[in-house]
Amino acid sequence: MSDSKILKIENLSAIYLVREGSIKASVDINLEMEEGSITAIVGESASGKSTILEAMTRSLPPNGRIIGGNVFYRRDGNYVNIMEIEEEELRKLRWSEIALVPQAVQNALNPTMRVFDHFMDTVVDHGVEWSTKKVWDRASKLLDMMGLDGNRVLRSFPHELSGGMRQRTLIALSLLFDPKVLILDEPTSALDVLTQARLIRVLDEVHRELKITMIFVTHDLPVAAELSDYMGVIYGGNLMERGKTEDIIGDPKHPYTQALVASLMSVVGDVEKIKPIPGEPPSLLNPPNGCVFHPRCPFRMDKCSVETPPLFKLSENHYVRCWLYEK
Amino acid sequence: MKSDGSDVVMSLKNVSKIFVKRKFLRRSIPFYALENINLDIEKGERLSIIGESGSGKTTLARIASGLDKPSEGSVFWFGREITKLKTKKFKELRPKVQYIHQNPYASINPSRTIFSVLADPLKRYEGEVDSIEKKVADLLRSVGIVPPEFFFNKYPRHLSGGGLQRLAIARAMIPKPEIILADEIVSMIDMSFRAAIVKLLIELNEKTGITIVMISHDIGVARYFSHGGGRIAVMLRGRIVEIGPPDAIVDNPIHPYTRALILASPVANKRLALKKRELLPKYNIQKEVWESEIMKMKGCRYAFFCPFASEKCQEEKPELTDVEKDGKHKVACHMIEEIPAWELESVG
Repeated sequence: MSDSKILKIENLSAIYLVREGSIKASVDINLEMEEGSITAIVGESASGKSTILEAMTRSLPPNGRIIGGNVFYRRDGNYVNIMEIEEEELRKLRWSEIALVPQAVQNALNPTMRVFDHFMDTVVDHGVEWSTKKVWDRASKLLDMMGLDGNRVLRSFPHELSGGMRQRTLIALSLLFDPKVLILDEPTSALDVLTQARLIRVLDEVHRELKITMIFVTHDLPVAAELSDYMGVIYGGNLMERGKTEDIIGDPKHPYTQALVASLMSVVGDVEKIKPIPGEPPSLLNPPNGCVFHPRCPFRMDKCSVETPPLFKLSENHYVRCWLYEK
Repeated sequence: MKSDGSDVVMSLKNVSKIFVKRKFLRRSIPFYALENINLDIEKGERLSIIGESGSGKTTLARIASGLDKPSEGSVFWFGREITKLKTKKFKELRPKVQYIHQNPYASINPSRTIFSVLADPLKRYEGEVDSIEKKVADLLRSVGIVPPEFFFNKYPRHLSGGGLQRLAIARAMIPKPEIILADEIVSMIDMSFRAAIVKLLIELNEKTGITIVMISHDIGVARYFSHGGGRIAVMLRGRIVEIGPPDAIVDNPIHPYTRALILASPVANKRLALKKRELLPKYNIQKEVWESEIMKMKGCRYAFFCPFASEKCQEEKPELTDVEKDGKHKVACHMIEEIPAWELESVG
């Protein structure tokens, strides 16, 4: 069983050091990614969802600290611990095997360089000896796969492309060395609805064609539901629930997930049933004692404000961090 | 105005906004951010204006609220054309129309306490009163910031995005406005708050009968906000392409662009999501069109992406026409006859 997992995150915790103390941005995160699957990490802004991605690739900003945990990546049948390998080794791993596409990536292209030069730069920087023609062919093939006119885009400057096109160009760039794992931070957040629908479809096609493992972070539950096979729900730096997407959406177990699903303002379903969540999200500087959701939870018990619940296993793939499921 | 519709509080007549794009050594090109908009807003209405970025929805709201002047056409408040009013009269009417900005982090002064954010405008509109603390407390309570006394000496940074947006709504309510224009007020705040903020606006509308215009890019938000008596207007590149009550716009949309928007909005139900993905190409040709080509187009702004488009659509601009005789549901499309029945059940 364990061999089908390409990435395993175990008890990963990370904090940010700020003047007022430390922000507990991710607490004891456990996640596993099946090879060739799409995992979505869903959470509100400042819930610590991007921190997980940055911590697992060791690319936290200077005030971020990983305070514990392991991230195992399967490489040629053996697991390597990303937390322990050398910096130089990690650099090779990034982009060629694990590609990270950060948030608001539309603005990451250099406005004075043609798109093709970005591809060429990446190749040179990674010490790969490809001919210019090979880079062009490969880049244009990738861009075609993204639904773009490869030859035209490669000759363009970034300002000639729309936001959605730039986004897809960057994803094409991240696929240049055929990585095994593609990590996307908020891939759809700054896009219009139609462009977003298009990107979701393109990502789905890329996933099917390349059998690549994808992990993405989003604040938009419906986007996660449309694209992912597995899902993890983050709240206040804690992983509240994880499992198969259809289980989590169809039959959410954690009170937070339930409330979130009920508060969705969708174009379908009964409008009368939309129910806002009362209260405020927790401060990660001084998180509440016990379960981080207890101040807003309709089912809270005395225990909830005292002790943090562990992840309870409901079935093979479904875990919930809530005292309601204590056996 | 007074004779035919006394309950119309705000109306736009043939409003256009033109920005001039200049190119080096070439003739300047007019860019229509808004093109010939006609819109009557009734008293007590909950109107949603939706559209993608660049569709002109914010420009429309700014012109309607008097923050910008239209290049062509005129804006009426309570039956009076605002550009023709004397300054004194305009200043009298000005507080009746309030605008809430998109970004609450920028629209509230960070160096003032929450009490003074509300107390100063209160003093300005109601004079020095003894019970100012009580009034501020009532306002805070009415938007759900409780307990109010606890927040008096706190600063805006102590509130979350949703809390700030509530504060902005409370502040907008001070001059007892008759119309509020809320520009994308939920786009910057967390998803677990969004429904609560929209609910707050609905409650304000129901309790006080105030007219609220909400700008959004999210058709789901618009549907929730306008359900039970409101209207939704769909904008595309400076024009209104379809307008009507939510059960017409969401459950029986006519314009291919409206249909594409609905099909492109993600839903949590995976089976439905797949169905929507299959249907989308029927109403939206997915191709890259360079912006310069769209600018040159004379006819319908959706023609490039519309699978139903005919030659007429390329050449001639469609006007809003009634779908049914009651005049509630209007659509601007040459090809109404060709559009098939709507396939998607909204409650399923």
